[in-house]
Formats: sequence, structure tokens, C-alpha cells
Amino acid sequence: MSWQKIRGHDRVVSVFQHVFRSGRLAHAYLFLGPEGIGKRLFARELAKALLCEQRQPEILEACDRCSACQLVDAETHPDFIETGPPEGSMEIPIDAIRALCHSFSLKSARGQGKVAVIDHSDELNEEAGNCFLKTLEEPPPKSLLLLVGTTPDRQLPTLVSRCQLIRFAPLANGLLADLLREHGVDDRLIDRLIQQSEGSLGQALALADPALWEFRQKLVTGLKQQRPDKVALAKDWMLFVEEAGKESASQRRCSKKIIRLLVDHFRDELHAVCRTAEQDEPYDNHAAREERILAMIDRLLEADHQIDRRVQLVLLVEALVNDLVDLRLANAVTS
Amino acid sequence: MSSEIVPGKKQTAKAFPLTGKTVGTYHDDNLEGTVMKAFFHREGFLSACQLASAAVASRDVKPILRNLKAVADDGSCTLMATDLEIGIRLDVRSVKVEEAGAAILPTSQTVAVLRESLDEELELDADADRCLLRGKHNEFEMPGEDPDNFPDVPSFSAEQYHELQAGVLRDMIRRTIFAAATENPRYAVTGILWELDNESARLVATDGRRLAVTRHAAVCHGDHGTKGQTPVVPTKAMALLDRVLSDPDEIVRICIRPNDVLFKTDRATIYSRLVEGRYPDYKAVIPKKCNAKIPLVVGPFLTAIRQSAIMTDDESKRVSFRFDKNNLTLQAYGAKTGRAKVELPIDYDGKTIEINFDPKYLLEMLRVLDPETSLTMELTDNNTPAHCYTSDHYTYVVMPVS
Repeated sequence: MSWQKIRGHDRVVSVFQHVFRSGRLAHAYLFLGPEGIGKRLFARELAKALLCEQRQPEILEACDRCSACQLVDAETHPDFIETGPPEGSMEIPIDAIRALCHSFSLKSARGQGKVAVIDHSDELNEEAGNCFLKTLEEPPPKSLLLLVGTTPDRQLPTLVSRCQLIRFAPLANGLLADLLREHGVDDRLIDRLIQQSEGSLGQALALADPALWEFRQKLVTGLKQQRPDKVALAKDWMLFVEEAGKESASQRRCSKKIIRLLVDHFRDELHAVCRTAEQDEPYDNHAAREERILAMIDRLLEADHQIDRRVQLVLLVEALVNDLVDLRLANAVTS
Repeated sequence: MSSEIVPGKKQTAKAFPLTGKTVGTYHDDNLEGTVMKAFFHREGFLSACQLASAAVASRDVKPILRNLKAVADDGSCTLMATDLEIGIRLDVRSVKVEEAGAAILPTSQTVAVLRESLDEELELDADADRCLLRGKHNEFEMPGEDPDNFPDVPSFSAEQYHELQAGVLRDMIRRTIFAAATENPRYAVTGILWELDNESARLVATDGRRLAVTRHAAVCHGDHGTKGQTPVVPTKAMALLDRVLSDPDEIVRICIRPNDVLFKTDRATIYSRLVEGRYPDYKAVIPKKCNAKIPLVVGPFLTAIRQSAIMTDDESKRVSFRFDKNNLTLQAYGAKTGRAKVELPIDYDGKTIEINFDPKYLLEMLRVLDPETSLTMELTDNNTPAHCYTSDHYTYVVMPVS
């Protein structure tokens, strides 16, 4: 019954149930897949199932009623440790990993073993990763480590080689639509969001904010003006993301969302340009327009990458707006 | 908690006493565990809360663990605090329980209310939504939490255990706790090893540079012992126990289980999880042979080391010891600090031995001993650990520095 909360990952559920039944549970797993598809939820459900004190011995499924299950839900189970970057930060502090290793060094309090979950393992820096290596390499008996990350190349190689990899697939469109509806998202937005979110409920919900779509509209209109005001646009951008929060992490996240929506907009524009190809426009001219739009998308993706690399946000936004306007103006000249 | 609570079910409305807000409370047949009502003797409750707050989690944990949990059944009340590593359970005396159940009490506010109040008796009335303390002319309302989200601290129910006097146990803790490692990737050495057999208890601590072992006779009830296991108790738990033991004559019961340990005094039960991992074979470290046997008295020896240690600096953390006929010379030198030479008459007539020690490692040991205690130091050469022991089964091994 408890696995029902995990939607769209039946394959992984049955893999774990099978592994558990045959007694071949490894000591460390690395869950990989896009953000916002339920990996951490799965990790927690797995922890609950393992720590549950009233489940049937052969079946890996939490009863959701015993006090162990309740304590996992309340995050106060002594044998369940979950850690990740603190709110507003993009890095897992080494102290959090030390605390995790320390509580892993104690014997199981309720005798069912211990489970630790590290969320956002992409954000483990080398120092924190190293601090954790010994625990990962020689875990105490009856303990399980679950790392939750996105792609293998964003993990520390020393950690990847010591874990079993479990890949999570993006959610199917139908399921995503159902989930969005359950979250009370406006029906009109749902199709757009599904297109945008690449099978990730988290992404879709993050983009479900109408203010974000309004701001996108504002930017697009601003860019389309005869003489776009670069300075004002960049300033508006910064004002908008500052509303998302004081910490740079939330501002970065907000900027990434805007970039996503802009990419989506230019993709639509590219579609439109391609569709008008049959008309009697000279081919060179047409190809140049396509090139320009592609260049703008490239520039946006580059900015997205720069955000990940922690380039200072103001500089990044100003440069991006500047380049987009220049590309757009060049575009206007050729067409 | 044995009862099972289904929040949101079977609720009836009840007026919020202070705000007038209407909140849900549980129907009569589901009272246990969600509602609690009791009258406490203020001073007794205050001292229990203060004692329990020693085990309240300080930081980095879930907010609910910064509270105390009170569980009342017919006629008695237990107070609990835990940080998921260690925990404490206290019996609160002179309580009149009106409705049995459990409550979560915010630690600092509760202690402050009890301290500031002038009443002899206070009423505690709590449910999942709020926790109310009421005196004659005052009322304090604090937000409530679901007591089932707070893990219970196990109670002491063992028939098989060891017994030690509190004074003896405290002494044993103090003689070892300083020697345990503070941060070490080998977690086992960050705690204190307990060895219990039919007639005695032995505590061991080491950080790789020194080793402290203390032994005392203990009374064993039933078939209780640690043969074949190496139970290591975190230093945090030992420090808490040291703080909780006040009356030196009271009897402490000790029960070591595969994963945890319980200490029971008259009022309190201290719980702690054990540390994973194998404890190093400490017996192999204690030197069996020696070239020189030097009798010393703790007080004068301590003074001499302290005097000489004045002139050590961060770079030369060492004092050189020269044991001559009837005389010990301690010398220290620091590039910036200067030079010290201290002499102490000793009862020794063997070969001259020169050896260097980090004074900290000797001072920490000497400080926990009574100044009149006589101590024997056994030395082999300047590369072999020194072996100190007293007549009351205290052994201390310390590595020299080159």
C-alpha cells in the first residue's frame, strides 16, 4: 500500500523488492534521473520499508502504521538520517556530512539497521565527499546509504565507483498531467507545462507560477521593440529574481526558470520560421534568420551553464540581455 | 506509546482557553496519548525539567527534539529528552494525574515558567494542538505537537545487570573520559570501552597516544557481562551520567545490551546507543617489562610538571624528564618563551633514564587523582611507553615524544 505513493517508478520498486527478497541488497545506491521526478520520495519510502517494524519479513513494504513508520515520517527516527544542502544554499556543508557519519557510527537504536539519504549528491564538494568515503567504503553492518543525484558526470567519481547506480526515468506525460491536476494546477497551463518539464513534476510545478509566465511575456515584448532598452531589461530581470529570495541560490534557480521559458519561446519561433519556408523568400535570407534564432538559443543555454558554474548573476544577466538584443537587432536587419 | 492515534478522527470541538479559538480535541474513547492533564508540585517538576534538559538536543536536529516529552499514566509521570544518540528518563514525583496521556513541552519556556511561578502547584493540560500550564493567577499557552513524533526513551526493566556506587562510577568516568579521542575516523576510540565480569567493572579509553584503564569491584546480578563483546559508550553519554549523579552513595544499575546501554539511578534512567566498530586490543599496549620502577606522589609530581610546562611553547610541546639517583630533573625550552628547570627529590637509585613527554598527557592524568595518592611509573627507555599505575587499579600508559 505504501508504494502506491510512488508514481511512475514501478520498475524500480519491483527491482528493489526482488533484490530484497533474494537478500542481495547492496550497501550503497546512487539514484540518478532528472530533478523532480520522485527519487528522494522513493529513497524515503525505501528507508521506511526497511525500518518498518510490522511488515511481513519477506515483503519490502512499509505498514505506515507502526511507530517506526511514524517516526520516519516525522524525521525523528533514530536510525534514519537525511541530509542535503540547507535552504538557500547550493552546497552540502561538510559539517552535515560529519554529523551523518557520526550518527552512522552508532549502533542501530531500534535494531532494524540504519538508512541514510543524501539528497542533491551533485552538490557534494570534494572535501565533503572525502569525509564520507570511509563510511561509504566500510559501512557498518545492516546499514544502507542512498545518494540522490541527477547525472553520473555531476557526481564525484570516487563516490560513483562505490555505489550501485539506479536510474529513474522521467514521468510519462499522461501521469504528469494527472499529478499536475492533483496539485491543483490550472488545466490551461498543463499542456504547456508538460512540454516544458521533460517529465519532471518538480520542474512543472516550479514553472506553474503565473508571475513567471507574465515576466517571460514582458521580456519577449521588450526584446521585440525597435530599440530594446538593454539596461532596463537586465534591471527588470534582477528585480524579478530578487523577489524570489535573498539568497543567491534561489535567485539562480529563478533565473534558470526564466531562461528555460525563453528557450521555449525561441523554439516556438524557430518552428514558425521553418513553417513559413515555402513562401517566396530567398533561401539565404531565410537560413540566416534560422541561424540567428539558433544563436540566441545557444546563448541562453550558455547562460544556463554559467549559472551552474556560479558566475556572478548580475554580470551574467547583463551580458545575456546585451547579447540577446544584439542578436535580435542583427536578425531584424537581415530580415 | 502503546496506543495508536489517528489524527483528524473522532474529534469534538473545544474552546481554546486563551484565544477563544476552536480547536479539535479527541473523543473520549481515544484519549490516551493525545490529551494529558495533571497537577504538578512546582519545585519537584522544575528540578526534573532542569535535569532532563541536560539531554535535550542542542542543534542540528529536528525541532521537536528540542522539547521534553511528558508521559503520564495512572498516578505517575515520566519526563523524557533525547537527541537520538543519548536520552534521559526521569520520574516526576508528587503528581496528580487527571487524564493519562502524553505531552510535548518546549524546554526553555517550561523551565522559565516553573522558575518564575510562585504557586506551589501547577496544572498541565495538553493536547496535540497546544500545551497549557496554569497556576492560580496565570496561564501559559504553548504550541503543541504530536507526542508520537517524539521517540520514546527505553525504560530500565532488566533483571540482569551490574551495580556500582555512584561515587565510584563517577570516579571511574573521570579517570578515563579525558583520554578518549575527540575526532577520529576510527569511531570506536571516541567512546569508553566497558568490560563487565562477575566481580568487577573495567573502563578503558584511548586516543592512540595514551591509554587509561580503571577497574573496580562491582556487584553482578544474574547472568550479565560483556564477554565476547566490546561495548563502547559515547563520551557524550558518560559526561551526561557524570552530571546526573549527585549522591555518591546511591546505587547505579548498568545494563549493557547488544546495541545500547542503560544506567539507572533512583530517579533517572540514562540511555545511550553504543558505538560501532571493534575496539583496539588495549592489553597489548600495556608494557610487561621495565628497566626502572619509580615511586612518585601525585601532588608534588603534578606541581613540578606544571612549573616546567610554563616554558613550553606550541612548537616544543615537551618536557624532558631525567631520572637520576634520588633526583628528577624536568627541563623545558621554548624559542620564544624561555627555559625552565625544576628538580624534585624521588626515591630511586637505578640507572639514569632520560625521556620526553608532552606535559598535557601527564597533567590530565594527574589532575584526576587525589594529590596524596602514590603512583608508580615504570620506564624502559626513551622510545617505549611509560606505564603508570596506582594501588587502586588505575593504569595509564603514555607515549614519549622524541
